[in-house]
Amino acid sequence: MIFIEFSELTLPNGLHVIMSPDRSAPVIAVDVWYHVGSKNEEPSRTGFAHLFEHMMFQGSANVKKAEHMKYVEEAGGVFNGSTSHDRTNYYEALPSNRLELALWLESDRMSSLDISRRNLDNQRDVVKEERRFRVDNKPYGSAWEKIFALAYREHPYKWPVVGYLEHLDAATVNEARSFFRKYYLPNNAVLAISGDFIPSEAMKLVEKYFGDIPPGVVGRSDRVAEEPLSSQAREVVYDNVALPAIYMAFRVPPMISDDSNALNLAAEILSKGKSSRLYRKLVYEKRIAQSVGAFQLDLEDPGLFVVNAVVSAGNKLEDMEREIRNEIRLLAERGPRESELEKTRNQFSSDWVRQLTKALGRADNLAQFHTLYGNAGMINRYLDRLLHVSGRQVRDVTREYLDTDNSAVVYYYPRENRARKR
Amino acid sequence: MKVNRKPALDRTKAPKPGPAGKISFPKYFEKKYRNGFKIFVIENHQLPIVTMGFVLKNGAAYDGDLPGLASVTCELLSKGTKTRSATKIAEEIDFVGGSLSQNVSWDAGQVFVSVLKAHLQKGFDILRDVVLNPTFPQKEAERVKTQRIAAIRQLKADPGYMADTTFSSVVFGTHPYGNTISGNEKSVNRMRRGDFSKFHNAYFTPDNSFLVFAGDISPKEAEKYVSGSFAKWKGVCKKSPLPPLPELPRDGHVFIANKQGAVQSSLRVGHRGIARSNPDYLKAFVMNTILGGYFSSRINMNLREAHGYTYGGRTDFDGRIIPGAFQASADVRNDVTAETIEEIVRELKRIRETLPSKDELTMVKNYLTGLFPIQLETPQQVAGRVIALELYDLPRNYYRDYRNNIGKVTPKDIREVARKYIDPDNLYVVLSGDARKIASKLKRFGRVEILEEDGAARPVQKHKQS
Repeated sequence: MIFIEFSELTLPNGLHVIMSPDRSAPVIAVDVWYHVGSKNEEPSRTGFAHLFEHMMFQGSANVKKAEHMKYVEEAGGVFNGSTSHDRTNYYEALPSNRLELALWLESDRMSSLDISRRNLDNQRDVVKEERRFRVDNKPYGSAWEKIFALAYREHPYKWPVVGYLEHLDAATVNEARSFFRKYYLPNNAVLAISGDFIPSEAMKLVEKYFGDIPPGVVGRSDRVAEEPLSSQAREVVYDNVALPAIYMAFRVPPMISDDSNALNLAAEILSKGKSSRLYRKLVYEKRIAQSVGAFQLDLEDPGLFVVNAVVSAGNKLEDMEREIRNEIRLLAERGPRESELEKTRNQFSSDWVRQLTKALGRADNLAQFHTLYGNAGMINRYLDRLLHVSGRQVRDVTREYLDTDNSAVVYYYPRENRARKR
Repeated sequence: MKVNRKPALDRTKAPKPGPAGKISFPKYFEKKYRNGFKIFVIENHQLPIVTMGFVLKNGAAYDGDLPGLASVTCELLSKGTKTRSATKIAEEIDFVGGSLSQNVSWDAGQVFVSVLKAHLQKGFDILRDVVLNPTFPQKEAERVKTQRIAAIRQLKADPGYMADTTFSSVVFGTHPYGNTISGNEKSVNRMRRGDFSKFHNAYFTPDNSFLVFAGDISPKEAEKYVSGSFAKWKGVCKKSPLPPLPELPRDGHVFIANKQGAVQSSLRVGHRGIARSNPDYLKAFVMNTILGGYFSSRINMNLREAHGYTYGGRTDFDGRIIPGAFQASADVRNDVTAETIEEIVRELKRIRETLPSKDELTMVKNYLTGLFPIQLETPQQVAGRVIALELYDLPRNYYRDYRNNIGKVTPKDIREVARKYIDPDNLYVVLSGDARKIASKLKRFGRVEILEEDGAARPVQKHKQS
């Protein structure tokens, strides 16, 4: 449908460089992915990878505190960073004549981040406000945290990316420095550039700015094997919410597996659009749910398939859960209809085009495929893989993974309900 | 292997920009039909996808005595037409992998369809049908109303929503802007089927709407679609102008939408602002950017980077057909709520009192002009700008001259518009948070009024009508 042209090579220090020129708009995107996320953290220092992402904006040898943002914004660009369980990234989108600025900024912090007590204290405060804003003070804000904590017993996915407040408090400057030395290495990173540039010229600049950054020994944590969930795990939460809601998670294989692709189709068939099975049955016909969604979470290690739904007024979570499980059972028994498969293929195709519209979207996908699938070329095969999933595969993965015993379930109730119970 | 050592790289200086790429606002096609209907086409064949946006030139400000009417009416468009049921519409658009969405603002109602080029005919057909032939079936209306009321109840648990709705009701009083776009529980409950068709008949007319096509489509193709449908559409809109804003008592109140157990205060500090079509708008926009409109702005650097009070602080002018709000906003932990308000007031005073340095202004100009191509990267983004041109009746060269006009703004202009449109002595301070923990420290900003959680968002306050 669309073919993304790109070239790639690895510098002697291990930095992997991917370049994807497209001269349709005078814009470039520079996106650096480090293969480190919250799963690399010490269990007593949750939230460290994300706190560290904030530190990356606090200055380096030649860029003072807050100057990174200033340089990018003064050039007419946007920037940000993000941290997940598996990886951390940093990006700038800029007018195309500022490629060199972005490379200078990214290479300066990769080679000489300035980790000071003062900056750590300041960003610790900011991150604590971020946590209060997104988790503690938002209705259902703690749901993902609860569901991961329930679905994993050993694996580091069991703690939240943003971390726990007491761990953030305990983080020290020395720990930050050692985290930097262990993971923020050229040989643990990929640099993706997309948009309006000439690759041969860009390559010279990349070598100029990144070529002399010494490689190091990447910190590796052992993969934690997690026993399958052999029975249901359940939790009830009373919180600042208006309507009861359910979050159910099923443990599923890693994103790179074929089964993961098929589960992506199952999620789409169950909840994408108003003609999807769960919406149609629960929200529209039975009116038992206010809203419903199903998501296949793409994770590097064995991940989760999550269904969440808010109950409509006057209905019970137990009944809604039964309806959800019933719809899943129907899909597991009979598989999808041919028309549903065709619909899902059409949906994947148009979503794929939308994802690759902007230079940043192309850079992000290339960096992701390299980091987590070990192959940037997947960008031109990924859609095809989804389009070739058969109805039988969808049926089989639904049967295998989305069954009751393999699930963790969190019920949310308004705080007042607990008071009433007493 | 022996390698020649290159001299060490001098990293101390930021690289200079290369020659700038060519940046211009993309050309677009515009046509007006005899019945007053207009179309715009932003042609770009880069990717095989087309977005179509139908725009109604009035929104929630015309809800009348039923707040939420425009929003519920637009949601119901896709719930039944003369030839399609709600289920059929959902199935058809989903089947081609398209998206169909409605969005209502104070000044507009919009219906968007996005489809791959291969499904353009189907996508247009659905858009045409839901806009021109909705039937507002009784059963669907009941369904949507029940859903909406539950959604509003859910939103009330969200501190940001409570702060926003309370702020609007305080700043705009009895004016429609004092309501909430999505409506309230009572008003939605009162809506009847006839209200929707009345709204549709009154405002969905060719002279009060237009259509924008963006992406893999030529003007010729677009005209072909329109000539058999919207071009033949009949009707005249008799829309009265919006009422003027009522006068309000100006005695510096603090309003707390009480939320027991909240760990943050969701703060909104401000007053009325500026209309979108005001000739000062661009200057005020540049001034606002310095103050709180981008990451390196004064408010964000102060509240976040210097003090660590918040994850982010910002200010906005909401330019509407008549003046919307000016507000500073931030979510901060309880024990620094008063300190944050003080810092905000300090920044509002400072931008009125002292001229910004040349460097600070240059930085913001570079930011805004450099950002322009990134904001126009996709045809959908360009469409957003074209819609603004038509909706607010801006000069057609507005975006052509945008970067140039930003370049002309002087430090004195900044101070002048700050003095004209920001009034630190007459601020409304509104927040959603735990009153027990914060109220006592807020008395210094004015009389504190506490609004209880399940009470109406509108405070008990008498507004003088002008």
